Parts: sequence; C-alpha cells; structure tokens
Amino acid sequence: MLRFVRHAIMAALVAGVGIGMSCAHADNWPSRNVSIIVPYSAGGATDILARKIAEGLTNELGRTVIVDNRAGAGGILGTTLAANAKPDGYTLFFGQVSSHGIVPNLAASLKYDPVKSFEPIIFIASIPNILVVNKDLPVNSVDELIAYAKANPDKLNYASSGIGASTHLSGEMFKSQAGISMTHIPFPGSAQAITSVMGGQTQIMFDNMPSAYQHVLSGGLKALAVTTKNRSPAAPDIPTVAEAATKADLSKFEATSWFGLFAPAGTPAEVITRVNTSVNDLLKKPEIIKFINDGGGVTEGGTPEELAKHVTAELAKWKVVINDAGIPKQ
Amino acid sequence: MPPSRSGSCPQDIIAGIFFLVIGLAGMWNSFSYPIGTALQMGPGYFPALVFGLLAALGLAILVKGLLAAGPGIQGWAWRPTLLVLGGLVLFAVLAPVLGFVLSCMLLTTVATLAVPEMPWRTRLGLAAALTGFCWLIFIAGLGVLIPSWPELLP
Amino acid sequence: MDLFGNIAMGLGVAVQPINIGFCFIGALLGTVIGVLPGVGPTATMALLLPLTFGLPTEASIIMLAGIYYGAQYGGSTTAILLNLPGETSSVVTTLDGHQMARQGRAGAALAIAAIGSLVGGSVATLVLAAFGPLLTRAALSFSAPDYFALILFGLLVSIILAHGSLLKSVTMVVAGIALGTIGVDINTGQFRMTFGTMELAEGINFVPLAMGLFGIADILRNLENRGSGMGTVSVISSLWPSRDDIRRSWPAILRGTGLGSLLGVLPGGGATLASFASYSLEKKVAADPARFGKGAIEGVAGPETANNAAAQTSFVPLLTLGLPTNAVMALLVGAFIIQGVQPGPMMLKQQPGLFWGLIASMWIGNLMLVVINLPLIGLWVKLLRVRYEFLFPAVLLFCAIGAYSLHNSGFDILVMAVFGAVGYLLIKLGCEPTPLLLGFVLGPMLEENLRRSLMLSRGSLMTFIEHPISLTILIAFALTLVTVVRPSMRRKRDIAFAEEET
Repeated sequence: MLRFVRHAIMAALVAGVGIGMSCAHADNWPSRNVSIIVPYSAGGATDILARKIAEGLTNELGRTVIVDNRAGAGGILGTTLAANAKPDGYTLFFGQVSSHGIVPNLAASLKYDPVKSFEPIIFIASIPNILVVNKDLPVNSVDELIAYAKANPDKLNYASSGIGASTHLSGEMFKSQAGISMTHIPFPGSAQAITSVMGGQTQIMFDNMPSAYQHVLSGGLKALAVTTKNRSPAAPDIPTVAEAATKADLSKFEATSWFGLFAPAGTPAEVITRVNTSVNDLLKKPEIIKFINDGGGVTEGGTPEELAKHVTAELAKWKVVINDAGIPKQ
Repeated sequence: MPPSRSGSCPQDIIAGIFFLVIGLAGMWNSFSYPIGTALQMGPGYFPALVFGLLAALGLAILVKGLLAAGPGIQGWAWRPTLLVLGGLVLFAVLAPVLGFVLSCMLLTTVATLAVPEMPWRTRLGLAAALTGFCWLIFIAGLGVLIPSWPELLP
Repeated sequence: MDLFGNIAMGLGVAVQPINIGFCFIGALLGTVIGVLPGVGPTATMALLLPLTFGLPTEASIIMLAGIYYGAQYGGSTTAILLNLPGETSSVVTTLDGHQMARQGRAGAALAIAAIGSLVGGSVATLVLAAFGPLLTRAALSFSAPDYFALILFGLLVSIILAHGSLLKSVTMVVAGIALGTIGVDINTGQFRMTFGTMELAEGINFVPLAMGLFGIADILRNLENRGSGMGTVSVISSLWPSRDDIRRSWPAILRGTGLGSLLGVLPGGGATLASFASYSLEKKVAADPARFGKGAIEGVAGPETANNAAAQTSFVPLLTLGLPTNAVMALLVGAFIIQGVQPGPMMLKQQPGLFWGLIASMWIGNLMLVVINLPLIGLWVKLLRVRYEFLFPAVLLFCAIGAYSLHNSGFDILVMAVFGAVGYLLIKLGCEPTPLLLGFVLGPMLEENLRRSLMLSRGSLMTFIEHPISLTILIAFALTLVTVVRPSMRRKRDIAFAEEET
C-alpha cells in the first residue's frame, strides 16, 4: 500500500505544479516524470522487463519513470507514436527484435524508420527462443528432427504466435537452412500455440524461452536446442541449433529475442549519455542479472553505437530470412 | 406501437436496408483481398461469406417489412444524441491537449445541455464535482496517464 | 492424492492475517473499481497491477485474485443497475437483471447474483483442487475442429437466448461475426477493413463496443423518454429476494455451477460461453420461457453462477500449465513472473504453499465478496434514486475515462460514440444487441479454427467428422437445429414474440 500512497502523493505534486515547469532543458533533465513507451499491453514479457528497468531507472534518476503501454497493430502503433514523440528526453522507447529487426522488413508502409527515427541508447538483453517438440514425436535431437522431416514430407506442423513473430521467422529460417518442409500454423498468441504442441495438434515450436522451458522441466515437451549463438545460462545442458546439427549446416542459425532502449531522433545527447550510464549501472546489479537469467536471457549493456550496429545487423539478417521464405509484404 | 396502415412495416424496411447496405459494402470490400478457395481460404473468403449472408438477411427483413404490417419508427431524440455523442468526441480529441480537468468539465457541461432546464449553476457545480471525484480515483488513485492540465510548452 | 492435506496446508497459508488482509483489500478494491461503469475486470486488473509489485509473493497473488473476483462481481453490479456490461460474461446479466432493476427489484437481483457467485465459486474451486490435472488433460485434447464445432453450437444457442424476431436475432449474430472480421487476419497478416487506421489493426475492442451498444444507447433512450419518469425507478421493493425468487433460483444456481465449472476449463472462450449457455439452458427448461427478458430471476441466477464458476476453473490451465485462457489470466501471468514465479506445471512442485494457498484463498475471497457486497446492495440500489440528470453525466464520464485508459488514447472513445449511435438505431429498429456481442466474440474464433482445421487436415473436410468430440457436438448441433425449426417449437416462439410486439 505504501507504493500506492507514494504514487498518489507524487501524482498530486505533479498536478499541482504541472503548469510552468514544462520547459525542457537538457542540463536540468529530468525535471519531471519520464515515460517509456512499450508497444505491447501490460503483463506481457516485454512489459515486465520494461517495468523492471523503469523501476531501476526511477531510483537512478530520482524521478518516476512510467511505463506507457501503447499496444496495437503488433507493436507498430506504439513504435510509430514513439518515433513521432517530442525529442525532449521525457519519452523513451522500449524497442525489440520486432520493432527494430523484423517489422521494417515485413510491413509495406511504415510511418517510422528503425534507424533514422530513433537515437539508440542501450542494448538491454537477449533471450533465446527454444526449439521444442511434442513429447510423443519420435525425435530426440535436431539431427533426428531433420531426418524425420525428410522421411515424412508434409506431415509436420510448427506453431507460432503469429505472422512475423520471432517464433514464426525462427521456423522459416530453420526450414530454409535445414532444407526441410513443414506447415506453419499461426496462433493469436504464444500460450495457445504451445497448448497445441502439447496436445499434439502441432508438433514443433520455436517458443520464447521462459514460458516453454518449464514444460520441458515437467516432461510435457522435449527441448532440442536453443536458437542463440551461445547456450542459455538458465539451461546450460541444451545445445544451440548450430551445435546440435551435425548432418546439416546450420552454423549461421541464430534467432534471438532482444530488447533495447531508444529515444526519438533529436533527443539531446546529454540525455542519451545519462540514461546509457544509468542503465549500464543497472545491468550490473545482481538483482537485474538474476531476473534476466531466470528468464533464460543474458544482460547486454554497452554504448549507443553498439546498439546501432546490432540494429543494422538484425535488419539485414531478417531481410534475408523474409525474402527466402517468400513472405509477402503487408 | 401503432402499426402503420399501409400493410408495411417501416421499422423492418429501414432495418432491412441498413443491413443490406452494410452487407453489400462489406462484401465489396472483402473482394479486394485474396479470396482463395473453400479449402485454401484467403483473408477475403470468410468476410465475403459473412457480409454476403448479412446482405441476404437484410434483404429478407426488407421483403418481410414490405409485405407484413408492423410498427414504425418513433421519434429520434436528436438533441441528446448530438450533445452526448458530441461531448464524447470532444473528450476523445481534446483530452491529450487540454488535460484531464478541462476536458472532463467540458464533457459534463456539453452532455448536460441535453437537459436544457438545468440551471447553469447546477450544471457547472455538477461538472466540477464529478471532475474532482474522477481526478481522485483515476489520476491520483489509479495513475491513468492523462496529463492533468494543458502543457504550456513554447 | 492427499487432497485434504493439501487443502489444509493451503488454508494455513490463506488464513495468515497478512494474506486475509490483502485478500480483503483486493476484493474491496476490485469491487469498488469494477463497479465504476466503463471499468471492467481487465481494465481494473491492469490499473491495479502495479499496486501488488511491492508485496510478498503470496500476499500479492492472493490480492490480485481478490481484485479479480471483486471486479467480476462489480461488473455484474453495473450490468444490473445501469445496463452496462463490463465484459463478455455479464452481457447476459443485463437481459433480465436490468429489467429487474427497472421493476424495482435490483436488490433481489444483486443478492441472488452474490449468492450464486459464492455457490458457483466455492464448488468450482473444489473441482479445481480435486480434478485440476485431469481437466487439464481433457482441455489439451480439444483440437481445432472440436473448437470449431463447439463455437458453431454456441452461436446456435445464442439465437435461442434472444427474444423477439428470429430473423432479426440471426441477423444480429451475423452482424457481430462480420464486425469481428475487422483487423489483421492472423493467418496471413493481411489488414482487413481497417480503413487505413493502425488503431483498428487488432480489431474493435470489446469494451467500447459493449459500452456503446448498451450503456451509451441506453442513456440516449432514457434522455428521449425524459417526460415519463426519466429512467429512474419509482418504487423499490424489498432489498432481499422473496421466497419465490429463491425457489426459482436454486435449481438455476446448481445447473449454472455445473455448466460453468466444465466450460471454464477450455482455453480460449470457455468462460464466455458459460454464461450464455446457462441462460439458454434456463430458458429451455423454464415452464414459461416468455418471462425471460422481462425480469426472470433465473436469467440472473444461472448465468451469474456459471460465470463465477467458470472464472474459478479458468485458473486450471493457468495453474497447471501456465496457460492464460483470457486477458485477465494473461495479466496474472505477468504478476506471477514479476514476483519471480513462473506459473505452470512446476509451480505445484516448487511452490506448493503458494499453489494451495491461492486455491484456499479463492474460498475466502468468494466469502468476502458476499460479506462486502451484501451490505453494499442497499447503497447501490440508492444510486438508482439519484436524479437521472445527475446520474447520466457521471456514467458518461466514467465510460469515457475507462475507454481512454484501455490504450491511453481517445480512439476507443470514438469507437464507443459510434456504437452508441448504432445501438440507439438498433433499439429503434427493434433489434436486440446481445446476439451481436456473442457473434462478435465468437466470430473470430470460428474463422480461426475453421481455417486452422483445414490447414492441419491439408484441406480435407472429413476432419470435422474424424474427430470424435467435433462429431458429437455437430450431431448435437443438428438435433438442436431440428428442434428450433420444428413447427411445434416455432408456434411456441411465435406466441412468445407476438406478445413482444404488441
């Protein structure tokens, strides 16, 4: 309840002095609350991570950092809003593989440019997808899966959480690099997709690590590999796809869900530096490291330039996957 | 409700036309998407089917309305409709600009104009009271993200 | 299989003063916020979620669950008093509940809803504790063709529940399905009928749609009838249900409990179907179906019970598999993860205290709801005596802020205003909006499962007959269709709606 009261007092103060303190100068930033736009609804994986970071930033900056959920159009709505927000340092954006990797290659017309509309601030975390199969499917490794798919063409179905999601494109990447065929069955969310794999209506999924891994622990699903370059600290015994495939060349296979903090283009450099330093400090705290590791991911950190380089690489990578899979632009 | 004398039902005629028009418009729009086949449905298949069905049902209601006597449409309250819906539209558009307090006052004032005999003092008092109450619950209590006052930025 | 030992352990956790305290705070906050028109359970949960972040794990989850029941019940309160359904499951409550309120029997409707919720919730919690894993396995075996058949059946049932012209009811269902096609097609990513707006990409939101069709349209109708009583209730009879009410209600409560417990387990839409199914069932078994839609207490007792029973058993997939079955459950998953607990199969092994404590707190929460709400009924009913020119601006303002807070944008208010006008037109045209809402909720699932079935079967229609569950439901569908169309039935209906139109 304390938090509630604090929230109320804070809101009352802000309302009371709301007029007249809106002038933004980078030298006394932050002079009011900062909001981070999250383009997905409250309670989802992106939102939860953003809230953790916002909580930490609130302590570091001494001003409340609010999570502003602007869900819609698979994240495009919130991303567009952030790109067009006033670059005064009071609006930041919680970007991810979708907004700054996949969607720009998939959407026919976007009102934002992943590179030109944003200033990168800091790379926050990467979380692997995990290749899971129904427990009754007679395969126990990536090699066996590829062999099974080749022996039974047009029999396998893989589930995803929707067109253009990383769960979908990981599957397409796997299909084209392993040279097999499987049918894509999209679902309106990860939960329904994983249910269908457990129930055996579909057989395979590249699900986000945290939600799928516990079904592996409980024996409901079999895990064959993780989709990152390195193994996940939460499940060091599961190989990467590149390691596990000995009979096919999947050495270039890498599909990561990643998160980074951005600001609208034109945001003062002092603000970028200040937030970068604060989040870098935050990412070194054991509590945050544990939180991200528990979810199967790793913390990243680094300079704004490193995030910019990562975005460029991701945009290029997903472009190839989407072209190879022949997914039409929408 | 008094049935009309002519042996038709104006209520059904208008309802029929309403659904027929929406059905046809939706069907026409659906054909702009790939249709596919019954076994390989494209994104346009299901909407075309459903809107087509809606148009057919609208036609059936229209025919029934032309043949059988039934109730007519009774007076439409134009003034409340315009004021209530107009107040909502104003709130939707102005809340991010004017802020919570002013837009709440505006919505309440405009909507209560639907009751013309309400004295202005009551009207404004009610608007102020409701605005204060909502501010306490939604802004102070629940932290809904609407600025309280307009931002006076240069 | 030590059910009683586990329940005892759970009760041990749940009755700790701190947990009881937060359960009470949760139920109270949920009721108070949920009762604001325009703020349904999902919005309430989303708004109150941050309050729980700083609490200990058990207390925080128990408080959230309390908020959930409170909001659920609060939503029924506005449905009965103001004809404002805050979510899908309270749509049917408006049919007879609001009629009862107009006849001055709001107290009885609210009390029966509270009692039904308690019975449904308590029994369903026991079902959850005893058969959770078994129910989970059953739910997992539901495949796309089975869902398709079930949803088709649900749509047929929704036509039965409507009163008035059969032709218009069917039209409203189809119009609802048509509205549901707006938004991104999940199979191809194609934007459909979004008129170039990003806001419509995920479809029309249920909350502004329902608030517009019911709440705003109702305000317009009441303002039109201002001369004749202004929509306020003149006489308020006893606050409590009469002996006759109770005699009529208890069988409905029992049936609702069974129906709700079963349907709530199904991932995706089970809880939605529960209240509709219960209403249709009550109307079918009633000696005099013509009373429905005019303030029949069974029409409140059955669906409210089913709705709450389903709300409990919808925890089954969440707790045993970590799979949220609806938007509220998805929020709860978020809350669990923020607390560092991954809900799902491992939770029972790793955190038995939390698991059984939550289950035990469901009883306590349901009991508290009754304790909180029975005294409040008097207060809520007094609200109906507030002069309408003071009441309607308040309702309007709450709806506007509630709609805004969904996505922090004015777009949903515009949607609400448009459907307010449409709802008013539909009243004028003699069309009842309830089947439209059911069509709207079930339509997208119908299309999705139809297309998914055909994708999985590589285009073979035989898939609907090859799956035993789907086959069974389709046979039931055919039999029901025959009884609806059979002449004797039709005559009965004609009498029913001839009365309606005179």
